[in-house]
Amino acid sequence: MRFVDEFRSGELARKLRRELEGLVEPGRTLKLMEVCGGHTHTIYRHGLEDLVPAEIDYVHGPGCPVCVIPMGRVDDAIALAERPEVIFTTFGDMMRVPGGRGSLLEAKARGADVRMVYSPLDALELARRNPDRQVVFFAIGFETTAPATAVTLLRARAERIGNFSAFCNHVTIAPPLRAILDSPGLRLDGFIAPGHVSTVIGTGAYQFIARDYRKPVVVTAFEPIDILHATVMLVRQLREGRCVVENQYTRVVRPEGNPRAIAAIAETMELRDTFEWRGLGWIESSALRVRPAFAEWDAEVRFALPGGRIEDPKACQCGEVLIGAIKPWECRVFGTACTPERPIGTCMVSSEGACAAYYNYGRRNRVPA
Amino acid sequence: MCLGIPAQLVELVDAEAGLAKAEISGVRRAVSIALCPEAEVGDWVLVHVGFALSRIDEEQALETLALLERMGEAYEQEVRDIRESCITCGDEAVTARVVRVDGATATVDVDGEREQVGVELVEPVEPGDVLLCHAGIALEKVGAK
Repeated sequence: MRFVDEFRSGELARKLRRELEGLVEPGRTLKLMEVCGGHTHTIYRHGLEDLVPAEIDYVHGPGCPVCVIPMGRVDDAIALAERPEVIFTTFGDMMRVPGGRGSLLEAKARGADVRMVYSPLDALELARRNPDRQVVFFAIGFETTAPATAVTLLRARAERIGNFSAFCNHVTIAPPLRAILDSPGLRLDGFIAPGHVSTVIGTGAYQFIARDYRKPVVVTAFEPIDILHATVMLVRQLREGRCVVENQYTRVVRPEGNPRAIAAIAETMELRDTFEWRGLGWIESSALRVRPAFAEWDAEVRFALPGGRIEDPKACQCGEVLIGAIKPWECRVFGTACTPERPIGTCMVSSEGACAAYYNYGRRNRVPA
Repeated sequence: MCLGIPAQLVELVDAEAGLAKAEISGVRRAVSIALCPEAEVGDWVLVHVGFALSRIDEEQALETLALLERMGEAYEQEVRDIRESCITCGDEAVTARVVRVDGATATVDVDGEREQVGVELVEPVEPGDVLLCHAGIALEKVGAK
């Protein structure tokens, strides 16, 4: 595939490894956080952890939107799905996420009308075709996905589609990064920032990391060569004592992002005062809700939701995995009680969760030095 | 979740509604270009949950690849220098087979690479002789044809 295969070249990977070998200081470990779950997936799928010098330690961040949805919100989704008039639509990733009362997949098995969609526009089309039913879209994701929900809401209003609504759980990337940077005892040297979130919000959104926390940031694409390239750029900044936001993904990301997408989000959604993140707790101004002007298409306004809070299972250490405090195999239930077939924590559910990546690519225990 | 797939726009279906057809790995699919209305047929775009989020800048992609190609060059030059230094300036002596003799200079073959060495100290030599060379000078004849 174009713009993919070129960035998987083995020859370039070897060049980049040699470059890294020349840049690292033997014995000085550099902890680089890849924020996005897509990056975690690429690192393990392509074995990058073994390719880079031992001094490079990839720490996995909170950028898997499926992994950070608290169990109470999943229960709210199930309550919506169980209403007889509702067709509940969701991205496939969310189907198996366990709430306090099982998953959406289990609700479907019990008879709820839960359907997987590829795009919120597919959910809108279902609403057009089923005028006697209520179609609810489970809107999750970072700033990459929020514009799709926004355009769908705008279109629902323009076409006066009254039986469509969004259950909005969109989250924003900067607040959890700030929470991680503020958490005591966590040492990080630099950030591999998410390429597709940046396609929307631009590269300026990370300035505070370089300016206030003195950590270098490189906005990065998703192929193995991209991640190695970003690693070189970060290590070079650290070697030269520089600390700025750089863009590795110049083929797609513009400094200003996509102003049209930002405007669509701003027109349809507003910041919540606070939102609960699985493992990270309550973070101020970290999530979006549908604006009152679009209340007609807001599932939280249209339907009464239980709105309960559910504690994570005691054995689950997703919270520590999500901020990079422990490696997945250090969790007490990893690979034993918690597996992709029967997940306890969300990091094991989504293919982009750090635990699922470790499990699926055979990193089930400490790698011998 | 934030997966984006490169796709080429092949048809504009409804400009007003921002609907287009894109080819993704040989499969044609309807995508919305509401967020990327400047995209034209033939352009490559990044598609996420059915929406074109951004145009892919081919020039920038090629520039990145060219930059990465160059990244290894310093290292490769160093490897070449080290290899060549066996004859021109290193401490070690290497054996080389004579390919051609041109007066006091012979062309020799060192691991498949052609080099020139002075043969004043070991004359006469002829093609096929094996010479021990150091710093561009043959020091000893270690095998005759």
